[in-house]
Amino acid sequence: MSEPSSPPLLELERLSCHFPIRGLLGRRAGTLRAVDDVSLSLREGEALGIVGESGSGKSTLGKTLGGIHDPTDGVIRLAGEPIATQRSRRPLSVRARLQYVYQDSGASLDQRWTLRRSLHEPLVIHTDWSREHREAKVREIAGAVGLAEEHLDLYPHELSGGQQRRAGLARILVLGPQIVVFDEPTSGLDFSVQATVLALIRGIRRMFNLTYLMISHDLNVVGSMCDRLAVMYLGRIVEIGPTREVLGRPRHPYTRSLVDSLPRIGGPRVTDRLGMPGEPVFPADMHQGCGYRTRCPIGTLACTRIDPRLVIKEAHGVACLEWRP
Amino acid sequence: MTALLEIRDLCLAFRTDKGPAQVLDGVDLTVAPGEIVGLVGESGSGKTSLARAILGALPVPQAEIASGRIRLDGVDMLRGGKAAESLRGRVVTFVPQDPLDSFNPLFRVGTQLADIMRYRAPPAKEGRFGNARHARETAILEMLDAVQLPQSRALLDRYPHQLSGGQRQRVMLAMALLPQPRMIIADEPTAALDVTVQVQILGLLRRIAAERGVAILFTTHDLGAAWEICDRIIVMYAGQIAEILPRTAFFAKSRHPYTRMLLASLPEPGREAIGISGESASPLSPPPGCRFHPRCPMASDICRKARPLPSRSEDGHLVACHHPWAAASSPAHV
Ligand SMILES: Nc1ncnc2c1ncn2[C@@H]1O[C@H](COP(=O)(O)OP(=O)(O)OP(=O)(O)O)[C@@H](O)[C@H]1O
Ligand SMILES: Nc1ncnc2c1ncn2[C@@H]1O[C@H](COP(=O)(O)OP(=O)(O)OP(=O)(O)O)[C@@H](O)[C@H]1O
Ligand code: SF4
Ligand SMILES: [Mg+2]
Ligand SMILES: [Mg+2]
Repeated sequence: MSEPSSPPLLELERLSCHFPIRGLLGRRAGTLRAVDDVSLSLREGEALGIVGESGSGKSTLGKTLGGIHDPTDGVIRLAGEPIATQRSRRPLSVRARLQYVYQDSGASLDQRWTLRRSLHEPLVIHTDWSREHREAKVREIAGAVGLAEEHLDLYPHELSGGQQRRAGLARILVLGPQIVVFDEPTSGLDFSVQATVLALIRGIRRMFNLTYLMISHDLNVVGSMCDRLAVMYLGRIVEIGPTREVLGRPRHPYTRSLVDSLPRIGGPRVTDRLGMPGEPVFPADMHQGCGYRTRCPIGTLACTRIDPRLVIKEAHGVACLEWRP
Repeated sequence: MTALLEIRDLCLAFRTDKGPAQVLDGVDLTVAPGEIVGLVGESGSGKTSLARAILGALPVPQAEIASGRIRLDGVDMLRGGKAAESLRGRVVTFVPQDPLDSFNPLFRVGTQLADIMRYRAPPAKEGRFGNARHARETAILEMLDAVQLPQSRALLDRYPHQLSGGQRQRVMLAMALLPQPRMIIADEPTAALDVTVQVQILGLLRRIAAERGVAILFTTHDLGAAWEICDRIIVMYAGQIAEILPRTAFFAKSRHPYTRMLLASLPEPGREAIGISGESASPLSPPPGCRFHPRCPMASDICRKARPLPSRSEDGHLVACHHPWAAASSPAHV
């Protein structure tokens, strides 16, 4: 870990990514605030988990970091230096250091190429290694993510969903990046492979002092893989803090409902006592007030008017008007 | 109750450059109306291939069904020609594992939903003004509400890549529900959803099974989700059925060594999950006898030579293993 005085490895300051909503005849009818005013920082070697409602902007945040989306506003700093927000304007070295691993990782593989070619490709672009050197790396990483050598000659459509996922992961890891955004790295994988993939990530983290953001719906996964956890709702961070604190003593009512909805094998079924009250609002309809108010069991009139800000106490932040220390 | 879906001795192979990949080997299973059956097993065990076989959606020149039969609602789905074709997408629908690949990227989501309503669904009740198009649109919006996508009109104008992963998954689910099928084959339908939405979707599936008698074959790696909604669970290993058992037995009284090892690799707070050591069986050269034997701590000579025949006990618990655990022993003893 770096000295407290040195700047964080990765810093986002008031990052926003909005999408236009097109109405009739393609006219701009509104704005979808997919990521709205998000600030956070990571120290070298740190692992931050991101959980939250589906559609709350987790992937958009990850893609903005990876330079796939252009932010509407805000700054990204790498080791204190602002970097170009657009991937194409980032120098190759920055691109290789900061990588985003797709949620539908099958989509990141070229359907016309064998796996071997897909895995060689990033090395061809980013390194001047010989073919043998590349091949050795490709085999090492393929083996590490649990793909057999015979898989390297297959095309994506010849692989099962889980095998495609591992291939997508391998494609990023061959480059030896410094910061990686993993978007749902284990969804759709069986536990045995999940355990392997997570062990692999832990291994690279140790070996290369990797810093990562891990987006996941699986609280067990982020619980075991991340030092800190950020909870997103409608484009904003509503809670952030040490993982154990956030899951053990959630401060935001949304985080509480997440923890309560977790199926508990052997326990009473959550679907027996169904019901999250209210409905999620559409991000475009939010003009003021707390985004969670339509579902919140403890909301008051003030929540419809005042934007809750992230209040941080003892390294644990929450954005809720009703929270009291 | 008579089965809605009945599969007997299904053997499926894919032709590849390296010879045939034997992906399903002698699969037998039934699903009754209103029943929710979970299909679990490691990656590559053949779950999606099984689903595709039922739906007649296997890649055409490569897939070869060597033997077996699939009957849905009395119709032969493998050789049933037009009769089978008319069931697909109407009586039986599919929620695919990878939603992004399954949409047509060139059309707006709303167009794709409207096509389903038009060509696959029973005619919507006509609105007050006898406007069929209006009635269809209402039905679509109501369905999107039901799958937890409220105020979805704006969503209809977007292209598939403009939706979040979980939104795509719920739109896919809506597309499978709109035709009012009698059976739904759902391949990992909640993998991309946060748990608060997942619970709602699982609850919705349980309701349509209970209230409308819809049968659901539910493929999942998420044993928490399986615990929530399945009546029975089928455990597959390398294209063979290892064990079939009621939900509560699965978690407490499984007998097959693979099932027990699968449960032991469940991630739990405070414990680093253990994977199952050894490589999964390659379908190009599956091990003889029991396909699990190279990874099985109980394996003996007979396991390497003879395929274990399934044995069934009164409570509907079926296990295919030469050395099964006694049902009474606790699964902690793996
Ligand atoms: N390219 C795009 N154009 C317009 N809207 C988009 C685009 N990409 C995403 N969105 C919208 O932005 C919001 C955030 O999407 P995002 O994919 O970041 O969500 P997410 O938190 O990753 O959700 P999930 O858990 O379902 O993957 C959603 O409402 C989504 O529909
Ligand atoms: N078109 C194809 N050609 C050759 N092999 C194939 C083809 N499709 C699938 N396979 C192989 O069949 C096996 C079973 O694949 P399938 O997709 O059914 O697995 P699955 O159980 O759904 O796995 P996952 O949990 O990863 O989705 C895999 O070994 C895969 O490599
Ligand atoms: S048949 Fe043998 S190898 Fe297969 S699971 Fe049973 S004990 Fe193990
Ligand atoms: Mg996402
Ligand atoms: Mg599959």
